[in-house]
Formats: sequence, C-alpha cells, structure tokens
Amino acid sequence: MAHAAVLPASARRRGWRALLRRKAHVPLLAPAVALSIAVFWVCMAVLVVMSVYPFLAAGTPRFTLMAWRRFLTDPFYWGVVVETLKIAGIVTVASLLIGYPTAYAISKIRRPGLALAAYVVLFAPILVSVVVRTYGWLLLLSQTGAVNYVLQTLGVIREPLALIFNMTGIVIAMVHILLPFMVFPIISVIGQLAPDLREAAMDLGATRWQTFRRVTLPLTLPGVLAGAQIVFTLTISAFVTPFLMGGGKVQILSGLIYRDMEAVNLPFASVVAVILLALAVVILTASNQLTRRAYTRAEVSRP
Amino acid sequence: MEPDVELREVSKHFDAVVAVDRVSLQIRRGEFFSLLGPSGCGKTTTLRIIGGLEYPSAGEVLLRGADVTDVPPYRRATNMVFQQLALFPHLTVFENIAFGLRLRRVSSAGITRKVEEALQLVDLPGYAAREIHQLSGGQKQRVAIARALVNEPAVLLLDEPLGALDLKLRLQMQEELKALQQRLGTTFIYVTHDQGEALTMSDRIAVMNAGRVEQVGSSQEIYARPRTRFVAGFIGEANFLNGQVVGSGQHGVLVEVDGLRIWAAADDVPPAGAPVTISVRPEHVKIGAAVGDAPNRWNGRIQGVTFMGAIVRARVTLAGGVALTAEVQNDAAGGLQPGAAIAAGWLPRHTVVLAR
Repeated sequence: MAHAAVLPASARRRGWRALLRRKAHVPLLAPAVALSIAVFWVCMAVLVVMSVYPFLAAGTPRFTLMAWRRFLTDPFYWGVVVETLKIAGIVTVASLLIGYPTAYAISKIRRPGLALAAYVVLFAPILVSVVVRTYGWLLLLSQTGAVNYVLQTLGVIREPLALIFNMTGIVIAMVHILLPFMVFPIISVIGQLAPDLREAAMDLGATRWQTFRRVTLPLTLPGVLAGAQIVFTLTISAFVTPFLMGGGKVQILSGLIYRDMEAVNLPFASVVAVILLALAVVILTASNQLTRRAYTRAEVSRP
Repeated sequence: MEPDVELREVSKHFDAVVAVDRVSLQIRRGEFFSLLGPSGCGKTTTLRIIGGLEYPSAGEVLLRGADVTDVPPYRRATNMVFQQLALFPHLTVFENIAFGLRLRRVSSAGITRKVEEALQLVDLPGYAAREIHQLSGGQKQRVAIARALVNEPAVLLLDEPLGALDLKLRLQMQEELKALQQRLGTTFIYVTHDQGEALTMSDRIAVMNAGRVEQVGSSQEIYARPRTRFVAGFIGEANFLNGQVVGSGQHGVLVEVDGLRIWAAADDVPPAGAPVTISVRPEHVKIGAAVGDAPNRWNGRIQGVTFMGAIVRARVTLAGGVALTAEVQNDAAGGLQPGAAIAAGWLPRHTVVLAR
C-alpha cells in the first residue's frame, strides 16, 4: 500500500480500470440484492420490532416481551414446534425414500423422449394450483374417496382409513408436491458421477448392492443433502396444503401465524414468524456443515 | 502349458455396430501382452470382455482353463487399471487400495500390511493417508495400479493407463510397468494405440483393426514381418509398392513394379502372376554409397530432403517413376541435394511381400 502513492498516474488509472473489471458483476447483482433488502430483510426487521411493540400501527408503541413470554412458557406452543418439525422430518425422509430411486431410474433413461415424459410426470404437480391439487387429494383420500373405496372393495380393509384431517394426509400431499425438489438435485449429482467408478468397484469384487453402498451412495450424498434441505425448509413454512389437509386438527407454526393474524394479534404472529425463521436458519446452518464435508470428500462441483 | 486367458471366436455387437469380430487369442501365463490398434478397433471392448465388464455377443472367454463367459466381474480373478483411473474420490489412498481387500474380508492387520506392500511396490510409501485430489497425475497412476495389484489377480488388465501422462512421465512409467510385470510374473494385458509403447513393453502384440485381430507376434516379428498391409502401415512407416509376382530365384521371389524387378525374401512363395504389395521400411532404403551391391539397386534422383533431427528423410524417384522415402542418419546425410542423381536400393530380406 505504501507504494501506491509513488505509482505514476497512468499505473493508478490502470489500477482503477482493473478494479472496475473485477467488480463488473456488481451491477448485475444489484436488482436481486435491492429486492432482497426491501422485501425480506426490512420486513423481517419490522416483524422483530412488532413482536416487542404491540399496537405499533395504532400509534402508542410500548416495549413489552409479553408475546415472547407467552410463546416460550406455554407447552402447547412447544408442542406445535415439535409437531411442525416432525411433519417436516417425515416429509423429508419419505421424499428421500421415494425420490432417490426415482432420480436413479430417470438418470438411467437413455431415450430423450422417455426422459422428457418422466420429467413432465414429476413436475406436473407444480403446474397445478395448490388449492386445486389439495382438494384433489381430499377427494381421493376422504372416507368415501377413491383410495378407501378400492381398498375396501379389494377387502384389504373393512373400515375406511382416516387419510385426511391428520398428519397422514399432510405428509401424502406434501411429498407429492415436494418430490421434484428432492429428485432434481440428486439427478444432477448422479449425472456427474463417472460411470467407470461403478465398474471399478465391481471389478474389485463389489456386488451391485456393495457398489451402491460404498461408491454411488456416498458420492451422491451432496445431492441428497441439498434436496433434503429444500424439502425440509419448504415443509416447515408451508401453509395451504397442511391447513387444508389438516382440516384444523393438526397444529403447525404457519397455522398459528394465520390464526393470530385473523385475530389481529400481530405481536404474537410476529413471534411465531421469527421463531419459524430461526428454526430454518439453525437447521440450514447445521446441514450446510454436513454438506460441505460431503462436498470436499466427493469432489463434486457445487450445482 | 495351458494359456492364462483364452478367447474363442469372441464377438461383440452394439446394435448394428460390430465392435469385436470373431477374435480368438491365447495369452500365456506371465506374459506382457498388448492389444494394439487405432481408436475404434475393438481393443478396449476386447479387454472389457476379458474383465467381465462387457458380455460378448458370441464366443467364449476362458481364464486358466475355466469358462468364465457368464461369471460377473466381481467374481473374476482379473483386475483392471482404467483409462481414466477411476479412483474413488471419497476415499483416501489407503481406502482406495484396501477396497478389494475389505470386500474379501481380509483381516484388518492383513489389510494394513498388504496396502503398505502395494504402496512400496509402486514406489509411494507414506502416501496412505493422502486424499486422491492431493495427488499428481503420476501418483494417481501408481495408486490405480496398486489398487488392482493388491488383490493378486491372475491377470492384470490395463486400458491405456498412461494416456493422460506427459511424454517424459509416460516413458518412465513404461519402464516401471515392464519391470514390475517381470518382478511379479503376473500376466499383463495392455491396451494401447501407441505402437512405440507396445513395441517397447510387450512380449507379444495382437494388432487389431476394425474388430479383428490382424496379426499376433513378438515386437520384432510384427515389425520385421508384417503379414497385412494394415500391420505394415500401422507399425512404423513403410513404402508400399503394388506389383506382380513374376518368378522366383536365389534371392526369393521376383516382383515386378512399374518395370522394376524387385527381389523379396518371402516365406511362402505366391504363384507367378499373383498381385502383391511390397512393403519396405524407409530406414532400410539405402542411398548413395551405402547401397553397396544389394540385388535391389537402381539409379534415381532426389526429389526433396526433410531434416527431422537425428535422421534425415529423402524422397527419391527411381527409374520408371517409382517414388520412395529413405531415412538416413543425420551424420551420413551430408551432400543430399534435391535434384541430384543418386543410387538407391535395399536388401531382399528387408522386402516384405503382402497379398493384395
């Protein structure tokens, strides 16, 4: 830095130009950053303020931790947190169990037409309105719905199963919509896997299952973790599907926010929103640590 | 002694494409055997069939006398060194080499000892704890060889393993591989498109073209007595002259090419009138005083001279318009001038007669 002062003017100008070239990407980022600040960070800040200043809108702000105390001391609300995490956990695991084989099979399709068809089937639920899709599931899964009808007709069950207005219904509908978010990152990692690694494993004496366990699975772990993160965070913050499929009988955090907004209890709704955000941040940070470790080992470039 | 590996009329079709066409080979125990040919000739597919990674469309594969055609790769006593090496990026050097041993449930003390020995063998002691991405190209190469050899395979299959290395390292690894093979006495089957590599390392070579084996023989045999035009052209350089057999005599067969009568020492004499191609290596074409009293000797004219370092290459046109390339050592090339008249010739035993 001490040398900068004695550099001739031309060299300094070159330095400026080099700096401009290096920072050429900054204007490209500006719209996204501005949007993020205006819509996300400012709003989150307002939420935090509102959670401790009730009646801010009414014009008589007074600092109080009442809403926070109410949430943190009532076991009912802790139960809702646990229930929310439980649903997100089950949806994530179920998506993984269905999504991994799906991703593996799709990545093995050689005919471009068939691969396209598989993608269409997989992504179709995203194209349909969430309300329409959810009512579709309600019809299918209700006491007199198609699923119960078929199972009863076949004699598999005598009494209809309770498939809606409970956690089962929420999980089925959520897995349906979130499956592509699990499948896609896994497909992209499997696609990067050198085919001769599997052959090398088999050449060294590994059966198909051992090859999967010792080579394919560990090397596709980054995709699994990425998919799991997306599915988990989308599930804990989902509202419409759990609300309709739960029928008001399953309490989750996003439902609490809705209820308190309806009741114009803005401080409490803000508290729940901030807690939801905190949960997402903690879980993402923890799983990012895992992902980083998986990536350094797998030497796969980040998608 | 029964062959270590035997292929009987093995073919492989990929849809309409015939990659390997009725290949039969017998590879002896302890031999360094090369499959040599241009890309797409079926050499890698043949190697993969031996290793069990491809299933032949027809034919049989025998390993030490036992038919292994239907045996999956994980139950064959072969191990492969892959072209792209295929080291497991999520495992350390130690775990890469131990991969096969763990699957065979070798005791943990046994694994440690064998991995150490394998690392010694490829001259990488102390590298066990390294991650794969910390290694140089040559070191990865050695790990790949150690990972295969640690399983003590009956046959080691190598698929152009030195292709990614720079020239100097490649020459060094060629020597090391050959020394390693002689020390271990393991049968090596080596796929390469580099004729120099095959000639240097191999006990025997199978030259392949368009899915077929053109010729099997030692380096010297393949080079000195090629049996097809493809082999003569693919291994080293050659002058090809088309002509006709006109008789035979004390020097062998007499072939007429554009009015020149050329003596060739042929093993089996083709009948008179048979159309043949004559192949003469440029280094066997002598010019000037070096011709001596060779039976094949003509007057000609130098068309052009190319300096190539240790050797100098001269284009010579003989009477009758036959054009040839001659190679001369640099120190004997003084005074070669384009346009100058010069004598050119070669010995009958350096003349190969190929059926046309």
